[in-house]
Amino acid sequence: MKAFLKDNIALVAAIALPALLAVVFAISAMAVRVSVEDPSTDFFIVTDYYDNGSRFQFDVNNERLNVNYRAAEKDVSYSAKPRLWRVNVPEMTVQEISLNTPGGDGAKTIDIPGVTDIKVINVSPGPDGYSFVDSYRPGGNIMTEVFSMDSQHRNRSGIAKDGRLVSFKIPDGNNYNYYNSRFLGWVVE
Amino acid sequence: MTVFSAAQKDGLEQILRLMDANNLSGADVKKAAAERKKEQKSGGNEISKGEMIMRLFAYMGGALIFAGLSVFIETIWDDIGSLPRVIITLGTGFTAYICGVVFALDKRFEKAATPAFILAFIMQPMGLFVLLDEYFPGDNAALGGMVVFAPLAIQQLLTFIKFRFSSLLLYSLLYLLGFAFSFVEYFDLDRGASSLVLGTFLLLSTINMQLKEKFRELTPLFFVIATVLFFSGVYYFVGRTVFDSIALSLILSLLGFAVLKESKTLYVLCMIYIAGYFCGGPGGGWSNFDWHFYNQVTAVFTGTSLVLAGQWLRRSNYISLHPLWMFVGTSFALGGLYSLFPVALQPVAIGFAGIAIYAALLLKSRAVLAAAVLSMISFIVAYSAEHFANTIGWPIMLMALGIIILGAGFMFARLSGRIKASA
Repeated sequence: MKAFLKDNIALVAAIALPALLAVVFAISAMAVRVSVEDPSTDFFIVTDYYDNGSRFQFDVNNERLNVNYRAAEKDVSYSAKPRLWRVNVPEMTVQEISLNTPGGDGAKTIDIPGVTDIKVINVSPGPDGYSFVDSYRPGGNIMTEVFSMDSQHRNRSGIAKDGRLVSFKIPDGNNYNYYNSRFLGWVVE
Repeated sequence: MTVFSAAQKDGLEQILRLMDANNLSGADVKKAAAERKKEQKSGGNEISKGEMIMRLFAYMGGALIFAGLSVFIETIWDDIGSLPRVIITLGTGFTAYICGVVFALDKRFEKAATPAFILAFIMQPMGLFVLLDEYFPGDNAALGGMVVFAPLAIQQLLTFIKFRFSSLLLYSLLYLLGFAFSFVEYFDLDRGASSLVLGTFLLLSTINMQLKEKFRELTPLFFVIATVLFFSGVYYFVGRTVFDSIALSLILSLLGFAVLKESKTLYVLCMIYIAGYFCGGPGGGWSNFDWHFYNQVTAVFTGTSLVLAGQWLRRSNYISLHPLWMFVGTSFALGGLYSLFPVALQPVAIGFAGIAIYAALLLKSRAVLAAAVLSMISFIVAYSAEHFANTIGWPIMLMALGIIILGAGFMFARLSGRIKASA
């Protein structure tokens, strides 16, 4: 064994280096988990959302989340109905808020109790120092792209502060709706 | 350093004396040994031209008979009832299997057993699926897969134990895979964990087969299936995390095995996987922590790893492209280092390029030397462009850079000559 290691020291070092890197990252990840405090501010996000192609429009104004709806116009195609979520921290559980389609013509403002009547701010970083991070990032090597199609770490979003990243996953979320996801604002009730 | 026995030392002493006497180099001896090995390998399997032509006609005839049977079955399929359908598929498959067993029992007909087993391998599962479709209600394909592949895997495994035909082991494993996929689907098991368990089992089995001369011919197909399953499982857990680099360690371990145990297929697969790992940038991490220097540090570690692997690969009997590995590895490592330093300290990275030049001399690698010199020039150009562009000194700086590049070229030529002379 000793002779084998000596004969193949370059290969052994080549194998050990990436493994060592993973250990370094594991220790660093543990260190930031201990040193950076847990997030404390809930927030809203919307998925499957196109700014211009959706009949639902979201924006934060005067510390309120506004949800507006425009009735369908003739010969105009719209994207699918977006999904609105409240992310509860620090558990990072998600709760879908149902968006009811109002009847009638013209534009309407939708009131959703517990959503549009609470104080919401859109700043980065948020009150607890965390910023929203979207998982849909281009790049990554070909091996990652090919083999991590089913990865449990794919299609996650998260919030980050000083190197610590706390992630969450939308149930049934796929790459497509993550690509069209938007952060709306922090809940400061 | 390899430890030799006294007898081996004597033998080596004689070989060295003969080499000196006949003006032969180590490379000549290595080449002759490789050719001899090749001849020995092919010697046992050499077949005459006449026999080859006979085999060719036999295969063509067999294929035509099989094609004719398939077309005939397809033509009459809609006009026949359930029982005839089962008889012409399962009946044919099972009869072929029985024929295979009978042929295998008699030394005179042993060669006829293999085509019979191939026919049985194709027709038996087909027949069992037809049987399920015709006589059993329900449309659960996964359950059907389990019911069909489990008994067939046992049948082929028991037949393999009796006759030791390597093809029977191949069929057993393929049926077993079919059963495993159906099992995962039926019980809706976690696909990532299933891929990892199945891939690891298959990879270890294939490695074991590679170590046994008799079963080596089966390993290429299994290395392809096993590594795809294995890396699907590995990436399920580490993909898109900062532990992505573990995959590189695993690929390099398999590469080492491929070179030491002479598996050409695994070697080529590992080369493809390594190229895939470095194409598109280092790492693919995301979900554990958001560290600004993640990509840079990954580039330094994985780039250095690639240089070391390239250095080791010089011993390989296969086409290793090791200069390319060392060039890419050095560029990755130095590029990562340069980006890692804050702007004020970036000139320090130029010093690291100098260390890489020294390393190139130690490793006797012109690829490392070329990458180090090019990196040094790139660093100087990037740094000066960032800090001195649009200033009055910029034209002077450009001229200075020209002199540096000329000097670097001269230095490369000299050092390259030294490496060539010492190699």
